[in-house]
Amino acid sequence: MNTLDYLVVFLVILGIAGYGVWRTRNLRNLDSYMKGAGNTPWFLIGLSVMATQASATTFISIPGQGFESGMKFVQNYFGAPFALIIISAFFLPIFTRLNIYSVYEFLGRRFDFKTRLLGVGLFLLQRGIGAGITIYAPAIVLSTVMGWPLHATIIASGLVVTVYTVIGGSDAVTHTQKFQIGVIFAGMATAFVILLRHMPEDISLGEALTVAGGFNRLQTVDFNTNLNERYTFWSGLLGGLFLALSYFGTDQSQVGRYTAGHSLRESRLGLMFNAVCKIPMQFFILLLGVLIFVFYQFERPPVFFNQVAWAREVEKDKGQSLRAYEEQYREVQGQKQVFIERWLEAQRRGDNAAAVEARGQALTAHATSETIRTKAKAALKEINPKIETKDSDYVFITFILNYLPHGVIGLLIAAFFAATMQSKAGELNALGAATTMDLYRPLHGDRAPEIHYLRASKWFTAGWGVLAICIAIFANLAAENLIEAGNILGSVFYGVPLALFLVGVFLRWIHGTAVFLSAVITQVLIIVFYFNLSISYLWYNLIGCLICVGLAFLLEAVLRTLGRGPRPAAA
Amino acid sequence: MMSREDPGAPRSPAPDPDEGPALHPVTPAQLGSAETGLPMLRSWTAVYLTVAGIFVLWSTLLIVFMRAYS
Repeated sequence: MNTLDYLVVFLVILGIAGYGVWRTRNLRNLDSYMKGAGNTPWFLIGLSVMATQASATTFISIPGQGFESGMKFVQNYFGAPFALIIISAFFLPIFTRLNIYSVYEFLGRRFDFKTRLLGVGLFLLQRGIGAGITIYAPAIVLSTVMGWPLHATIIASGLVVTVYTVIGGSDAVTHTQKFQIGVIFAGMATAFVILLRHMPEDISLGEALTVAGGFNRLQTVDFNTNLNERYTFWSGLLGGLFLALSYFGTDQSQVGRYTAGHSLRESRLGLMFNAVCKIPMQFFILLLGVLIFVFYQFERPPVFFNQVAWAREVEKDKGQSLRAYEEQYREVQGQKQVFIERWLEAQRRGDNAAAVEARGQALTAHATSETIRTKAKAALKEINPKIETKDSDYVFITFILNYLPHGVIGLLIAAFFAATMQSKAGELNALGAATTMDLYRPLHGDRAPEIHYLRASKWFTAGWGVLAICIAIFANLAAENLIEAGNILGSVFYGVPLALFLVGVFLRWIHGTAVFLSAVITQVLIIVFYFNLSISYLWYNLIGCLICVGLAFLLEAVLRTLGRGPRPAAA
Repeated sequence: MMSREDPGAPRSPAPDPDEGPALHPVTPAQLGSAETGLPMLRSWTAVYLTVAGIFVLWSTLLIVFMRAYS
């Protein structure tokens, strides 16, 4: 990065943060602070929902996922449109009519205070840790590659977003997100165009996609019913439906975004905007990674994409095994390139037999090069057992730094910071609102004037911002797999809140005590299952939800039989 | 008006038997009407069916894309 890049980064970050503060300078009441000015149009709501979900991890890691395993991951989002339709049709009218500050107020009104506390407690635990990981995950990649101090990167990105979220509340979050997502899309689109221009001159886009398809990188839809396959049409549709229902329907960081609309219509259209755009957006981010894969078939890729870590370990490598792997890899990549060129030439002249043969040779060479990469990673681990050998997160950023022009590098780095900020801002605003409205205000007795709760909300938001920074700093000390730990935490604790809301909305004859007891029992069971079963953690969300709903049915029936439960509702 | 079990819920207007009572004052504009304001798609059911149709279209295009280059 040169001065121009740094200038772009600072102008974008501080400019957007400054705009957020200026835009909300006259904010004086609790309603505006927590829910926005009440005039947010549908497209801003749609962008805000999209921005809160899309953290920097989305833009750094997903191209790497496309590079490594192709387009299969897009199926993960197949359940999202249907989840958003369910939320828009059934959840949103209730949230709008209740005019809630926090989605957990619904649980209090529908069931009782203890169920509301349980819902908000699970949210604060999970989202509080999640906010730290939102900062930590991109900071570790950026600081490694750029040579910046990790703690300074975490503190810088964490403090800026905390300041404007504390000052401007929900409105600042929404209005900064529109620029942040604009910068991200501009950066990604520029990277896409430059990537296409960096392909060899005689390779068309169609041929680049043929190469990607030839290496099985374009398998977008898989109707396989094998439960062991992680990404299939069915797991995406069913698992993705429950995951998206939990996230968009019961997580305050999302509900707070779309209930900021000035009418039910605007909120619904904002959700439908996401239902339509989510799949193509993820498709293009993955396609970017796939095209980087094709690009590196004609350009010599590094054997290990975290080049800073590689260079450091090469220094220590007395036996020179790493250098030897580098040489072997370079040689096989050269052979592979020759086979790919033969394959495309044969295809151009319509010689199918020769094309099939050359493709087979290219695939064999690719398998050899992947074996060398695996061995190189094992050697790396032998030299430094603490090193993280998963390098797919470094693929896109390595391409950016090595092949994009100055100025555009700055734009992309600014885009990654913007993505961290837009996501964290939504989370902080939600954490502050939930702490104030679901914990502080009820326990304080709701006696104070509104301005008191406005100030309290600002303090809580600031507190969560500082806590998120601390979690991000300690994450580095705790475990290298903390990002996965965050995902596991999400899956283990998402099923029960979803069940609470599903029972609340659809099963009106079930009451607070039954649903509260079933939620507590289910959460304990899911934790026990997690430590004793060997199924993928992605399933705990669905399992937790189903067990909790089933138990609530059962307990409600038992409580009524014993005559201890509430009388059946009149309506 | 609020449930005694939920001390956090502020005062609210009269309850609606279908949707449950409001927690905070809500204006008619916030609730809006059943109108979508979209040309051709007058009801929300039509909007949802269109969104589901677009999902089918995306899935089909993804399959066509995959088959074209495999």
